Amino acid sequence: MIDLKSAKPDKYTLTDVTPVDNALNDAILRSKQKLILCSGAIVFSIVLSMSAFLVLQQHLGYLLLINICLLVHAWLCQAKLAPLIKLFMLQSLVTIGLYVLLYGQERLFEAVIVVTRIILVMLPSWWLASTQSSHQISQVLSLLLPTKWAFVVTTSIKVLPFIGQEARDIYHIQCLRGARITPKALMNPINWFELVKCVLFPLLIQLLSLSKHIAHSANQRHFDKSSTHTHWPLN
Amino acid sequence: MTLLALHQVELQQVDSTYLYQNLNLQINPGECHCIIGATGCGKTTLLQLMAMPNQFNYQGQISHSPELIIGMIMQDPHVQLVRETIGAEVAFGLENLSVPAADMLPLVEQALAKVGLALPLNTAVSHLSLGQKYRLMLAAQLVFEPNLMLIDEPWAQLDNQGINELCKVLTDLLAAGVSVVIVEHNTAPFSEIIDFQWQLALGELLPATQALQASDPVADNISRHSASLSLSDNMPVNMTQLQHSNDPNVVQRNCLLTLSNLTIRYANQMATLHINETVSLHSGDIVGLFGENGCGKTSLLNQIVGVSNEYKGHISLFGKTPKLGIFGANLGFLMQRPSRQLFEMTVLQELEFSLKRFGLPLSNAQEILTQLALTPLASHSPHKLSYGQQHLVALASVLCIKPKILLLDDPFAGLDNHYFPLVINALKHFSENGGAIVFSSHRPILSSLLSKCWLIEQQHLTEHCVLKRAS
Repeated sequence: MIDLKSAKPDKYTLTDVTPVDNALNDAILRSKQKLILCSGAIVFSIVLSMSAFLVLQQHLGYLLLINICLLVHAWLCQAKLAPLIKLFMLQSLVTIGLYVLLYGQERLFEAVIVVTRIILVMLPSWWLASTQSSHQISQVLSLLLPTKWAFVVTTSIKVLPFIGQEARDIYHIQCLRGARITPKALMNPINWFELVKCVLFPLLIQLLSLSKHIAHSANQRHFDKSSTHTHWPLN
Repeated sequence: MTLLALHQVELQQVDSTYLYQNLNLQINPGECHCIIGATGCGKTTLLQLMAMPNQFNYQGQISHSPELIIGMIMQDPHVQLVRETIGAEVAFGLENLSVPAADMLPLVEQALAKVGLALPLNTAVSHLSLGQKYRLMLAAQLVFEPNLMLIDEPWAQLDNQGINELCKVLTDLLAAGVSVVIVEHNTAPFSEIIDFQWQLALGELLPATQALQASDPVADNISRHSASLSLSDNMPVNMTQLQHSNDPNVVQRNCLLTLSNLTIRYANQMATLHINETVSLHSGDIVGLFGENGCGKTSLLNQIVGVSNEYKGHISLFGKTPKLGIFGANLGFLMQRPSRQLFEMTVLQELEFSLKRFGLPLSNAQEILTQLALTPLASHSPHKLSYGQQHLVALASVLCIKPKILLLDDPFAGLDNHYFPLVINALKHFSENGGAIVFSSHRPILSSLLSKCWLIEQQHLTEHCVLKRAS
């Protein structure tokens, strides 16, 4: 029988646990290998992101090439590129637009370099989140950070797709309710406030609610009971 | 031994009114308590208060036995899941209890087996249906062997199979001495396991009387309870395959929506929903779209309104291929968890938003608020309302534009016996004025209201007529 009634880590007893078989050992071994790869991926992405700011302008091309490789790898891992490309295009449009407005066309090249650097900072993090599970990242981060911090970081990564889906759902429903937020309507800056009011505001409320619920759910499952945590072996 | 006791508990709300006054409850091992009450009376908050009293500023006494281990499942399982795979999700509690990694595997497998979720441990949580996620959440609680389970409105979330499986699990838990507290509008599916039934009214828990326990017939003898219970298991008796006749009444009415030879691909690109025949919707029709959790009801509605276009085949809505936003006020759509759409400062403003955008009379808002008995909430912030009340406000905001077609994705989830008949009457009124309605549900309900139903079984949608009962 398995007795976990005390719910205290120092008191549980396990007296009849099925022995793990070879297949399971193999799975655990593979998980460990993945964990080592994940550790490498985290270090690699941090170094790449930092390099985007630190590297000299003439070496930016090499960095760009490495990031394109990451993009291809993530695509092969079935990550969706379309939202990322849209985000980069929007970000480029806003940054270059601001440069042109503030400094004129003579600093256009400088704007392109800034945009490239920003993209190169963001891309490795996206690659990491797309190719590694949040559970693996959590395991690695918990070696470096306090457990609570690691949980916050990895949960934030994990809920990114959920946030994206929520944003899409809210956008669609508000379009159907007649909000002036269709791509055509948003050509007019007057309607940008409607996008903030109808989509971003409810999304923010959903995120606040989500964070509260996740915190409750975690605490209710004994998250705050112990300072030391073990990890699920299969990734 | 008492596991949990509430003694003269009082809790004030932000506006200084009392949510609970003199609230008493005692839970002993192996007991099943069920708490019913109107939408917004504080049932969900009561579960949270029991589980996490130190997060509330209450008066009175809440006693937890030293042996007490609480497992809790809230209304929406989406917001409680913290991991990416089902194995890791169930193991989360064990990780926090520092159970060694190798010992977790059998415990996780046992917990998943208890809830009937026989899937590989590395199955992605995002690939599960709502009902499966609910069972996963249950397994994630059972893995650390709680002796008190708190469950918030499972009937609204689960299909009949899910409810049957939940009842089996709860029966086993009760037999093993675990106590259960269920908060629910519809107690009938759990009648065999409930030991004590309470009515939460005016801040007090009162023993539910015989009158309260009975399913009150509502809205011209339409009861969701009786419909859900008596009809769900014998659909073939009550429904027959629709014969495409030349009924003059049908021919005269406008055909608003046609679906033919349709194949829908899900987001994970594994399964598809097929419609091999032509199904149609005419003005004045009320169509029930029925199928189990995860069968593709929401996907189908998303294709019809133009939110998604992951289909092959033919969809004709008002004679056009659906595209987001082109139908204006002719199309009303209520999504699942419709509280997501609320953003205005008052309920009235929320309703008036669409009316202003579509240039419709603002008086429609007041009319619908009266019809749904929501007038007292008109000046309230929609963000401070309960889950059920927010659901109603969102429904009212769609109804008030008086569209020609109303598509409702699970519109009765979270509605109590007070609001349920009001919604039914509003929908009947809408239909009598020529509006067409398609509503989805994971169980066949309201047969006496339906013109026909679209039934999804084994990835195929078929159209059926509904034989009205003689009574």
